[in-house]
Amino acid sequence: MVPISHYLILTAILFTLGVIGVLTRRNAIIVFMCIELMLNSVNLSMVVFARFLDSMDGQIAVFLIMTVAAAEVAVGLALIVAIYRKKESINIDEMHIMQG
Amino acid sequence: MGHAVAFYVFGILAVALALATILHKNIFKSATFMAGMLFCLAALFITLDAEFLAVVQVLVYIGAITMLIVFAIMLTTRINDETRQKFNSQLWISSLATLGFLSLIISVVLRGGWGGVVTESGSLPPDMLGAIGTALLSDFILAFDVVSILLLVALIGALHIAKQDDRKLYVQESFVDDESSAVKNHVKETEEMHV
Repeated sequence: MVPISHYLILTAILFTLGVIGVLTRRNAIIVFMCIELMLNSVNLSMVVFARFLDSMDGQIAVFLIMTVAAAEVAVGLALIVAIYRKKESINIDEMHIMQG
Repeated sequence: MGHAVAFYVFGILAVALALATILHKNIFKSATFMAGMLFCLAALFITLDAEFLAVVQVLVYIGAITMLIVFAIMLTTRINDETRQKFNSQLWISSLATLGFLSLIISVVLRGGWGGVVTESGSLPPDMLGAIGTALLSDFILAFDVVSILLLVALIGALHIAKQDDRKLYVQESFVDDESSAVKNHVKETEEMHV
C-alpha cells in the first residue's frame, strides 16, 4: 500500500539527478547516461499512472519510448566516436565548432 | 506489506545508484552504477504489475544500451585519467536551479490531489502480455510502424557516421596509387619510344 505521491516524488528525484548530471558533467558519455536516467524516470512515472488509472496505454507508450531511446543511443554513441576520432577528446566544453 | 517494502528498498537504492552515477570520477564505474539503477527500475516495474516492461527493461537497457555505452567508453576514454576536472563551472548554479525545480514538482504533487494508493491487486487484465500485443498491432499500429522505421533508419545512420572517414581515406589512397602507377607506366612507355 504505497501512496502514489511517493512514486511520483521518486520519479521527480531521479529526473532531477539526471538534469544535474547533464548540466554539470564534462564527459559526453556521462551526459548520455544522464539522459538515459531522465528517460527512465519518465518511464517509471508513466507505468505508475497506467497502474493507477487501470489503463494499458501507459505501458505501450513506455515500450515505444524504450525503442526511441535505443535508436538515440545508437546514433549518439556513433557521433561521440566520430568526434573523438577527429578531436581526440570528448569533453563537452571543447565542442564549440558550431557556435557562430 | 511486501509491496511497500520492495518499493522503498528499490526506490532508495535507485536514488543512491543514480547519485553514484553522476558523482563517481571513474566513468566505467559510473556505467556499472547506471546498470544497477536500471535493474532497480525493473524491480519497481514488477511492483507495478508491468512484468513485460521489466523484462524488456533488463533486455534492452541493461543488455544492449549499457553494453553499447561500455564499448563507447573503451573506444574513447582513457579510464585512469583522474586528473582532469569532472564538473564544469556551472556546478553550483545549475544544482540550485534544478533543486528548486525539484521542490516545485514535489509541492505540485503533494497539493495536486494525488492521494490515491497503489494497492496490491489492480484491475488490469490478467493476460497482460497478450493484451499489449493485441493493442500494439491494432490500436497502436501506426506508432509501432513509425518506431520500427525510426529504429532501422537510426541504425543505418549510426553505421554510416561511424564508418565514413575510413572509407573515404581508403578510396582516395587507392585512387592516388592507380593514378601514379598509370603515370609511371606512361613515362616508361614514352622513354622506350624515345630510345
